[in-house]
This record gives sequence, C-alpha cells and structure tokens, in this order.
Amino acid sequence: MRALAIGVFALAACAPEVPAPSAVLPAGHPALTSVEQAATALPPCPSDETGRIFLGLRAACAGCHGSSGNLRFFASETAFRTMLAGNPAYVVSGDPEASVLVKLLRGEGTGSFRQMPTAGPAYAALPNAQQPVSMAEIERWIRNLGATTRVTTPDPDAPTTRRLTAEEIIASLYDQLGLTEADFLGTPGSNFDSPTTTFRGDLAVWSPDRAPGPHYGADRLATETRWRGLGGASWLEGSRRTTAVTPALMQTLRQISYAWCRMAVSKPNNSTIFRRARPTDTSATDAAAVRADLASMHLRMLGDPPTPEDVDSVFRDIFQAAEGAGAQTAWIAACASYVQDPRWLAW
Amino acid sequence: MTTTRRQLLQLGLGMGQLALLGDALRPKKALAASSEAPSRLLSLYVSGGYTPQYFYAPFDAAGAARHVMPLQGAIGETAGYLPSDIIEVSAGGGGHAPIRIGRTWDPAAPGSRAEANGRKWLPLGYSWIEHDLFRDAVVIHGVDQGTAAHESGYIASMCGVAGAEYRAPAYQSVFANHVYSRFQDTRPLPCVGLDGRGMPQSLSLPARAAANYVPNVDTIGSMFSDREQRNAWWRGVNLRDMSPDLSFTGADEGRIPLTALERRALARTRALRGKSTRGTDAFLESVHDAYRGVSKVLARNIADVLEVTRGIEQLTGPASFAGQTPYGATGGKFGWTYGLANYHATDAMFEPSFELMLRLFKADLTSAVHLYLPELYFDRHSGQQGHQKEFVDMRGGMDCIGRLLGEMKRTTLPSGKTLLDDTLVVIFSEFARTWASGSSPADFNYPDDHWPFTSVTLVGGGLAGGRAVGGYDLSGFAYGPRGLPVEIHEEDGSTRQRPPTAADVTATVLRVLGLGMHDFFIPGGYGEIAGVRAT
Repeated sequence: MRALAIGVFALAACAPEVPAPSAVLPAGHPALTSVEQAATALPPCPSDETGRIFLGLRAACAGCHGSSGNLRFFASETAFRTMLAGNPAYVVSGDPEASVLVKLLRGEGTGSFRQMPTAGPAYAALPNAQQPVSMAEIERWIRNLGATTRVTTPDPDAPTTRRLTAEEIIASLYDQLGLTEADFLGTPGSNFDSPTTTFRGDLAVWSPDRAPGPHYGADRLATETRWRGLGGASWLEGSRRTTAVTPALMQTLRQISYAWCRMAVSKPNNSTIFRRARPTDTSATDAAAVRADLASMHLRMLGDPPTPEDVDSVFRDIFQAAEGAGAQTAWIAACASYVQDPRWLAW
Repeated sequence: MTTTRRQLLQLGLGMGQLALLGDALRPKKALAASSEAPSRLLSLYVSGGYTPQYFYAPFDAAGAARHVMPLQGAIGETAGYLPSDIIEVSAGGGGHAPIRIGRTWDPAAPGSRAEANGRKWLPLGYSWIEHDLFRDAVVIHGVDQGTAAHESGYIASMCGVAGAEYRAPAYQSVFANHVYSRFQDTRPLPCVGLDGRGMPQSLSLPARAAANYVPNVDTIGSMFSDREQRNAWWRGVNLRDMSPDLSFTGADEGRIPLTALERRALARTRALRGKSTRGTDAFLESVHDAYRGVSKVLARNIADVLEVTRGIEQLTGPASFAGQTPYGATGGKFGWTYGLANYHATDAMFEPSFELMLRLFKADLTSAVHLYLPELYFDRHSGQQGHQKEFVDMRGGMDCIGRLLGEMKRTTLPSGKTLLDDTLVVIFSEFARTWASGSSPADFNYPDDHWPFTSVTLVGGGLAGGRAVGGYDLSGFAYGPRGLPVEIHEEDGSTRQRPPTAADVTATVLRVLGLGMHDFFIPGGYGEIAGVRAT
C-alpha cells in the first residue's frame, strides 16, 4: 500500500506559499506528486473573513448542519464556502439585509424556519459568550463578500483536514516500516486466529471484528484497547470510528511509534528502513548513508521532499543525540520522530 | 458568615507563613467553578434501559398497587413490593417531596434472607440506608429522553439531545474542559472513560477535554508509561528536560518536561500555524494540545502512581447489611446472589472498574470519569419474566452502586471533604422500560419494551440532597407514564413549568458542577431544574 500521509499541502483546503523543492532528494526515489502540482491543484487561501465566520458560527450550527446532519454546510470549510456562502438562496453577496442567513440568525425568517438555531433563542439573541462572531461581523462579512462560487453538493475530492483513521494508521505503518502481521505472531507461520496464538511483537493492534474471531490469547484486551485508542470502530461492540484528535489517540500513537520502529529497526534485512545504511551505522561510520536513509524516511512518511535542513535537524537533534545509547536507539528515535510529526497524522 | 478554609489557615499560620505556602494556596487562573461545587464528576451508566420504579416509589400507594408487580416468585427470589412497603428515606425540602423507595427487606433484620408468608426478604437496596446516602441524593423523576432508541437515548443522556450522533459535547467533557485550568498542574487525565464502548464525545472542545480510554490497571503500564522497565522501547529516548510550555500560538504557559522528540514534534506543529486555512490551524492546534497533554501524562508516571494507590480501602469483607452478610464471600464487596444462584453478581464483575475509578480519584489524576456498567443489562424484552429479573437487577445494581458510594463517603480527602462530597455522581440509563400495570394481581400486564420517560439520580456534593424532584403522570397511562411538570429556569432567564428533558438534566448537572448557564450550549434549548442544586 502506498504511503497515506501526504503532507501539509494536501491537508490544506487552499494553496499556501510554495517552498523550493529539496535538492538533496536521494536518487532512485519513487516519483510523488510534486509540491508545485499539489499546490496549484488547490484554491487560493482566503484573504477575507469567510474562514473566521465559518469557525465562529460552527459551534452553534454544526450540531445539525455538520458532517452527519441535514444541509451539511458546516461539514467543512469548503462546504461552508460553496454550499452556504456561495448560495444566494442563503447569502446575497453585498446585501446582508436580503440574505436569508441573516434573517434566520436574527429570528426573522419567513420560510419553514423562523430562526436558527431552531429552538431556544435565535443566534442573535444568544448571550455574547455563545456568539464567537457577532451579527455585526456577519453582516459586514456579507457586505464585503465579493464574488463567490456556488456548489450544491460537497465535492468528494475536495481537500479536507482530518487525521488518519485507525485502519490507515496501521496500514501506513506496516507499509512505511516494512512490517507485516507475521512480525507480531509468537510463532512464525502460526495461525493468528488460533486461541493459543501469542504475540512476540510489541503493541499489536487488532480490531475486535477481525474475522473469523478475536482470539489472540491473553493479549486480546490489550490489542482491542489500542484499536479503540486509535479510533477504530467495532460492529461487535457497537462503537463507531472516530477521527477526532483525542488524548487516547496520541497516547497510543506515541507508544506505537517507538515500539513499532523498534521492531522495524531490529527486523533482519529490513530494506524498507535501511536502503543505504546498515543497522549498525552511526554518524561516525557512514554519515552519508545515514543522512540518505533519513531523507528516504522523510519522503516516505511525510510525503514531501525534505529540505537539507529537514534532514540535518533529524540527523543532528535526534539521531546523533541518541547515538550514545547505541546505533539501534538512534535509528528508533529518528524513525519515531517521523511518526510523531504532525504531518504524518494528517490526511 | 462562613469561614473559609483559607481564612482559617490565615488565622492559624499568619500571613508570613501563608506566603511561604506559595502555590499550595494560590488560586489557579481562570477559576470559574464555585469553590462549593464538587471538583469531580462520576457518571455511572446502567445499560439497556432500566426500571427505576422497582427501586424508587415515585407514586402513592394507589399507584404502587397498580404499577408494581404483585409479590411473586422469581427463580428463588420474591419480586415486587407492597404499597405498605413504601417508605420515606429523606426529608425532602424546598417544596419537593422526600425520596421514597419500596422496602423489600425485613425492617427488624435488613440482611435476612428468611422466607415466610410467601415472601423471601430481599436486602438489595439497603446499602443506601447502610451508608446514609439519601441525604446526599436528588432523584429526578419523569425525565423525557426524547427517544426510545438505545444509542440515541445514551447520547441524549450525555449531551442532552437525542440523535444518532452527538449534537453537543458530552457533559463529562464540558466539565473537564471547564475545570482544566484549575487542575492542569495536578490532573493529567482531565476526562476518563473506563470502557471503550460509548465513550463520551467532546466534539469541538479542545483535545484536553476528550475522554482518555483507561480500560484497566493492567494495560495502564503499556499505555501511560515511558519507563523502560515497563516498556523497553523507551530505552534511551525517555530523558526529559524542563522546557517552556508554549501554546499553539507561542504564548508561554509555564514549564513542561519534554523529550527531544516531543520538543521537536511540538515545534514542528507550531511552525505549521498560519500556513493554511483556519480550519487546518484548528486541527493542528488540537494535535498540538494533545501532544502536550500526553507529555504531561507520561512525565507524571501515572502507571507507578496508580499501582501504589489503593482504591477500595474502607469496604473490607463481604457486603454488610446492618451487620449481616447474607451474600457472603460469593457476593463479596460488590455482588449478590440471585435466587437459586443460577445467576449472581460478583466482585469479579464490578470491582476492577470500581477499583480503577477510585484509584484515579484518590490519586487526584482526573476530574471526570465515565463508567459504563455492562454487567447490568436490562434490555430483555421478556414480558413477566423480564420484569422479574429487572426488579432484582434494579435493586441489585443500585445496592452495588450504593456500596461504592459508601466507600467514597467514608474516604476523607486532604481538603477535609469526603470524596463523595467533592464528587457529583450521576446514575442513569438511556431510558426506562414500559411499566407493568393492572387493577388486580390476576390481570397484570408486563410489557417489557423501551420507554422514553425515566429517572436520574444525582448523589454527592453541590446538591440540595434528600429530595425527589418531579414525578410521573399516571392519569394518561399507556404502557408507561409521562413526566409531570417541574419548575425550570430557562436559559433565557424565564421560569416555566414543564416536564424535564435530557437537556435539562444535562444543564442541571453542569450547573451543580459550577458552570454558568451560558458556559455551555445545548442545541434545542435547555433549562436548570429548580430544587436540585444547593443554593
């Protein structure tokens, strides 16, 4: 499976400033979408108030108009821009008094709904603490809105910001670290569905729904605990997938980043990690090979070509700093630093 | 005039000594909650839709005769109670009724399991009297959950709005977030869920408010420790240095012990700020704050702290009913046998989660704990036999919870408060079940289905204890009663008489916990139920 983490450009809903591509990309790397291509495929970043208005109204509106509700204006910032701000049925650019959105927020609607939110006070009558953006700010935003783009349905390909799901985290790490399920089994070649199966790998993660049945011996609760920690769903247990950024996710991921990197680094002949360097290499034995493999990890796990400073900082601040505890520790630390990078988690 | 603990300390120590106490007495920033409000929250979820009328007696004698099943044998137990068994167990007050329950034990010997006159005494429920809990409790009857679907009712109980998804953050997270700044230096796990199923959702609240899943003592070591003796993969990478604790915007918020990797991850997250949309920044901020929270948890070494903390200290030996121990070693501290003992509850079912919850509170590691009690499952849909079992389980479950509350009541905190006084305990189910009814024992009906009007019990600090608020309207009974109107202080400042809803209970819980009426928001409107909060 191809790496899933694709970097900050793909998690953005617009194109930020484009940095120069790295000149230190090791030879032979697989081609990825270039920075320029990724950036130009996105709309420009907002220079207006729309993003702030979106965030300000979200708390009061997303309960019913979020990703699972009716008229999903607040499912994403893109949805807000194209389905609400861009729709003259709700927002008449330049004319707040003619905008149904304003009337509804004031409690002066004339259609099926007199006000929003539908029950309790209308938005305009909410206490100040519940109005992150005031009516005056909303009206000013509409007055200065300018040209908008109307889209009646969400674009399934629109870039949105979310974290990886539990399934994506596991698949990405298997792929990026050169691990397989067999690496977690107690006996090579054993059947992982056997009641007697045990784990030798650290911190295995399995869904309780894993067919044909969750056995996994004494590790069953722990494997499922981590599955839930990563936000995994379970039909058997009636739990739903979550992509919220929770402490449980971060706690689980922090542990897994070290434990699985340790497995990957100590796995014999793991060419996914060691492309030029050897597991025993340090900055003293072959610094160039270490740097090349760090650059390779960066590209593979963060999805964008590293700058020289990107490689230098991991080499200097992480790899060399951990070398005192041995080459293996240095490789584990460097590997884990990429998994702990905020861009790794973002889709 | 009330003399505060701070004033007492000032009198006893003098200002010079007081100054030396430094941080110990310095108010934490953004202290919004009243000092009289409890600083902890425990929510206890009884799954499947329970039967409050088989413990409480929210009706008069005529109502009891019509809606509590006639005394009848049920696998070696006697289910049901008589109208003459209804007793008042608290004083009431403020125009509200006392709490009334149906007594099923021998008043002369509460632990008796003797059988006579077609009735076998059932001690279950007595623990609330054994531990004198009703004076600390308010039960709200006739709450409209707005749904008769399990998950929807569960969500309604936690956020106030019925639906397939949360429409507002769960009150556990709202509270944990509210007191975060007050306890951020001492409680590294602001909100905790002890079962992976049905974790409270925090929606758009900061990451610190999301529930941490802490399943059991055994897995804490692998999840919450950076000590290489527990987790070998931390060898050589767990050295922490005190570093500036920077917010996502770069504001200096104190000091935090970070490893080199953590310092790098936080710096890289901050460096991405402002590079993309505001929505992306909000996402990155949640990542950043969650990173900080994890570092604090790891630095506190809570696995070791929890390992040496004792949860259940006061309850020793089998459960006592006025000195009698009818369930003996089989029932243990938190169990009971059921009739012919083909079913029974044991310590193995309840004690692990109770023990862990108590450790978390006693070690002062958390502000809010949500405990899903899967051991008590009421969704039987089994007619008369279902009602019989639900009768015993309702009483057994409440008795078991009463023992837990007894432990909390007998635990004194360094502040001088009991653990129960410093905690608001919420006992709830997603809804209730259709009521049995009949004009005579021979013509009773036993519909055993979902019913949206239920009762919620609050116990602990901040309450006008000893009251039953609200009730059930038996006049229009059809499979179950609707709630009677109660006085509600609406969010717009008006006062109305109407049946309470799940949103009102949610709002009332948060008010008892010290939040202002506009410190939270529940779509669809909400009010505070009058007479619940101590004023």
